[in-house]
Amino acid sequence: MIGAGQFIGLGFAGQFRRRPEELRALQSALLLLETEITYTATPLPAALSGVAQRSLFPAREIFSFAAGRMQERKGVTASEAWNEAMVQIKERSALRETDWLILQQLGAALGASSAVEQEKHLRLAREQLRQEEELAEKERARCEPIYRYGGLLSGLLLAVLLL
Amino acid sequence: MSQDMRCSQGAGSEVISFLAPRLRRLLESLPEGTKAALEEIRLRQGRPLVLRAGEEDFTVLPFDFSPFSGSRGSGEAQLRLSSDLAKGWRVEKEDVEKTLQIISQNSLYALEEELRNGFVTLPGGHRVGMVGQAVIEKGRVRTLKHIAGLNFRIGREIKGAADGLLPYLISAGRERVYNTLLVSPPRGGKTTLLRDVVRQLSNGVPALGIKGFTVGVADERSEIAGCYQGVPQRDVGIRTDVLDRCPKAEGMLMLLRSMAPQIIAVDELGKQEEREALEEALNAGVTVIATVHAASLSDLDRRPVVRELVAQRVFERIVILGRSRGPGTIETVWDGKKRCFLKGGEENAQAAGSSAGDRSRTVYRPGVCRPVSPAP
Repeated sequence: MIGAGQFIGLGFAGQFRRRPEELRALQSALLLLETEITYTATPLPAALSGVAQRSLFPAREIFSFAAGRMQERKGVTASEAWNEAMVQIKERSALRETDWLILQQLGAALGASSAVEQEKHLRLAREQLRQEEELAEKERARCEPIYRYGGLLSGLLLAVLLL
Repeated sequence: MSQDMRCSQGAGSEVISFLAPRLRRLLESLPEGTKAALEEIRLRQGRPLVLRAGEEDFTVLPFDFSPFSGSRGSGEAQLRLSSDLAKGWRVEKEDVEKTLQIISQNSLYALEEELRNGFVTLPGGHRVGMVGQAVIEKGRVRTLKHIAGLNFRIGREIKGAADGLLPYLISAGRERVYNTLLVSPPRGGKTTLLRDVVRQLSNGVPALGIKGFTVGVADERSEIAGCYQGVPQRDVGIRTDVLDRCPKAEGMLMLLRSMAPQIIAVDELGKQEEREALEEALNAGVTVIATVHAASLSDLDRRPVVRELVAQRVFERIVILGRSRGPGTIETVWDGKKRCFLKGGEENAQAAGSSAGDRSRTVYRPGVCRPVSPAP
């Protein structure tokens, strides 16, 4: 029972730890994408799959899924492919609704304008993600220990009560 | 796109695959013969879809077409074509947008240069013209936005189109090709013919004793070789080098300096600087094969640059194309040096406006273009 309590606590603590990591992964992937778009004007499917190979979860998964959908050339727009990709990853990720909203906004603009415009959209998304990351980092510092030890302690408490 | 794919399906079907899903499903059920004959597909937002094959404009009549409802078979049965354009299938905003997304691979930013020029070349060498709202910066077009009209021009490779012409273009000793001007009204097939001339001269034609020549193509509008990312999508021959998207005048000089061509081919001659580049090429002993828009020899007079070149007897062969027996019909061949018709002079005399009179004495004089009637 103590073990179970600790396990649950660690699970919650993990959420707090993983979110800033995921936000960082997204930011660096978007920076790579920006380079692909503004300097080499690589078409979006190729750019996304190229960046995916150099990125971490969840950017890797979102990018490669979206690229795959676009390469099928069935008339799927970039934003549709992007949204589908987000839905695929949502379950497995520690990101919050606010983070997904940022990505969704970016997806709506992806590929649909000139390089200069694309750069603006990507920068904006990166800046927003960075702010979220800061908040997430603070939250983690505050909450991670609470959950980690809280789980253990509540398990212990429950065990004592049941004795 | 791989060579095999191009061979296995018609050019029409190839282009249809770039349309928005709704339109694609619609046009895929066209009869094979119609697909094969398609020359243009025009999408104008809010207006009927217009297809063109030969001299005919036609449209697809709307019907209850739901891609999700039933078998494709029923859709095919219901597809009806009509020349009454007003009743045709209406192109929606979404159709244009989705098509554009497919063409651009969801990457409009990668097409900035193309948007500025107003056209994109598809893999396979087909061209899509675009109109919309121009964005102006410092008095020049920076890009297009709100794109609302697309014109797919289905390029055709007709191997052997130049068979009937080649014997006129090669000197008796087979060692050189004459400087040639291909003259044709729009859609007369001059680019198709030029491409085949280039291909055959580049590969060589053993039957005519023509060995292969090194050919340089300055393909400003990507029409001759249909380059996609620098690689010709059309068969332009083994010994052909293509400088894609390059302004012709500059392109001719670049080819001359860098690729040591024996023949330079350009489409749509007309600018003064092109004439200078052309003269440069001639001075270097390079044969030039060019095309120009005009309906007849007399029409050339309205093209100052070309008129001067013809007057200087630069072109040893002037070939007039028409559509009298389909696009690419070789109507007349004129010897630009000796000033005589090698083939079918009469039609041209008529085109030049000669009345009944003595046609055998019809003479073309550049700059003074009118038939000379016998002295009284």
